[in-house]
Amino acid sequence: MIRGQEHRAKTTRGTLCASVVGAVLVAVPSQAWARPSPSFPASALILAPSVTVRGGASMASRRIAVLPQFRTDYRPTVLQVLGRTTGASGARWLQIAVPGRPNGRKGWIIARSLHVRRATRSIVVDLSARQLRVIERGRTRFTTRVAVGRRGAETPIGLFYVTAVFQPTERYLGAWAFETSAFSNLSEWPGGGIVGLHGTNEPELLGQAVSHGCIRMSNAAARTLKRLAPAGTPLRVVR
Amino acid sequence: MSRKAVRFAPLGTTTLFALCALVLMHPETSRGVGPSGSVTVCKVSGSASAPDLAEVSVSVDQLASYLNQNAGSFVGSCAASPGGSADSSTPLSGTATVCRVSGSADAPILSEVTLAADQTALYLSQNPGSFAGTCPPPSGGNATASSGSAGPVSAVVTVCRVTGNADGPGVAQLNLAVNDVAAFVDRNPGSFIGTCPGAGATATSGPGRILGIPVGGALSICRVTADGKVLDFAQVNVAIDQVAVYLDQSPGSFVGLCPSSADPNGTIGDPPLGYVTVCRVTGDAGTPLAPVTVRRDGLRAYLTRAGTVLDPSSSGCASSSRRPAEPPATVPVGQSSTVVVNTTPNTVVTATGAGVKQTTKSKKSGRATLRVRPKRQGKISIRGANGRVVKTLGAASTRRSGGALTG
Repeated sequence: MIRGQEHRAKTTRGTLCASVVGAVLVAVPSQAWARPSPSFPASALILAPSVTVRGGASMASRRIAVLPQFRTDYRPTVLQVLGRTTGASGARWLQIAVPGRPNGRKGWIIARSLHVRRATRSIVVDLSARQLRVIERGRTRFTTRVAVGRRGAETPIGLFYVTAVFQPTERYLGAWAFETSAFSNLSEWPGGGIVGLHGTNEPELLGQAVSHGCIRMSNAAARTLKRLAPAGTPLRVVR
Repeated sequence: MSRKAVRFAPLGTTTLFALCALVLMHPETSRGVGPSGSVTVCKVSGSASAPDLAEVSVSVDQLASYLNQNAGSFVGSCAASPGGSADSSTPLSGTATVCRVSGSADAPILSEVTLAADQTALYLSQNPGSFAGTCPPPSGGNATASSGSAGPVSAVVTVCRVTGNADGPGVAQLNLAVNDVAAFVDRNPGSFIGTCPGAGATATSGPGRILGIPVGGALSICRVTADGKVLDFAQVNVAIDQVAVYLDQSPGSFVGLCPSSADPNGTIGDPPLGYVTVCRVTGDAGTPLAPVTVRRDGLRAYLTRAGTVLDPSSSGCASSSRRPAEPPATVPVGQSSTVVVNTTPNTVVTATGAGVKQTTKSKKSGRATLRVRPKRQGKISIRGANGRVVKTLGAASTRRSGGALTG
């Protein structure tokens, strides 16, 4: 139904479209627009000497914690990123699991303060089956039998993460130990009662609910886990 | 019967010709509606700086649909004015009413403005979506009388906010009430009305909007230059399709507002994103200039600390890849670790802390390699020129008491 100079208009429009699309693609690096969404949970390191955790994705939100770049033992503070959003001002914010008691606290940190890394593996501990699995891309990479918290000192259930890996000096912690973000329900434990994943000097107790909340495994399994689960690896404890 | 038909036939033909003549002589018809129920439409596309006008004939029954799909177009001849004023009878000494069309294709914003008649053409060329005449009413409107895209005036408008620089642009899509759009875009010059490119964004079609970016749009860029030790910021507006070229040619520049005394980070109401490469005078005769990449939000502080900064496009200052800040790292106590830092060329680099005291000199490329062996736990600070800390490491023991663990 359209006649006259339609052909010229179409040609001009086509050329214009192509040039503009090209210009837009040149103007904007592909990784910026097509940046893959990091899968959550992810781990993150703090880029500034300290960062403020807020209750909401806004600078006006209440401050709930200040986290240092390095911990008191000079290891980097590792965070778990649970999600992201864009604030009303257009700034990007990341939702993190706030370290410390009580378990499950969440807060928001402005995204530019963090260096986010994708977590390729995760640890799943099944309390009922007394089993620990390392999952990588949906497949079980490693399985081992574990001992879990006894009655009254049950291992907490939920999503946590490995905050530090170290070689313990105490014999009862076995070959390697993994500090996690989970806190035991034992409130009076020295140092705060952090739930750990660690080896053991009592391998005969594996498969039982005997610990104070920690997840024990054989020393061989702890050495394997050291290779598979760096700080920041998500830990999901299920019943 | 046949004689009657013979007698009426010439009369009918004459009447028809007379009616056609009357219709064609009518001023409105002679300007817009062509033969066979078609209307001449001036199709406006292209950018504000180079609008493309093309006359097309559209059947009357397709006119509303056509104008809806081509929001910049209007009924009338393109020859009437550069902007295609539909009302060529407007006296040049008087005023003209123009319907300004902005917003997105899904939610156009229509507003009537009154202009001096001799400014109409210029205004229309600068506002491609606009047209001479009154805006159609919010609900439906008379599509044949004007552009016809009468969207909900009280609608929510999608705005794409652009910050950062070419290597690290930040885009965020916002939905704003129509009344707030103008103020927001004024406050955030990198922003534009439309959807952001990328996953999840809706590519809108039609003139002036391809992949969500208005063809005629421009981004506000802060151009950073320096003469001697005086740093100079200049706010410039660059056509969107020229932004990449412009930033490549002026690597010190970035999208957004220039720093000011009221806004030292160069943005208002939002933390800046991305990194800026600036050129630093090293004072070394062999390599007098070296590019340095700094975080945008740290630029101001860096400039006040680090001394002279030149435009990296200056000769002798090689371009460097822009890179993000390195995440913190730890090195084990009692073990040797190799640490690489980038700083200014031929600069003395020192590592101190945690029992480490080591000095080396950076190479011509600015890279310095240190081998540190911390004796105890603590922080190791690596300093470059002017004592500036270029990297901080934590020195932690692999062996640690597990007393905090419940066991």
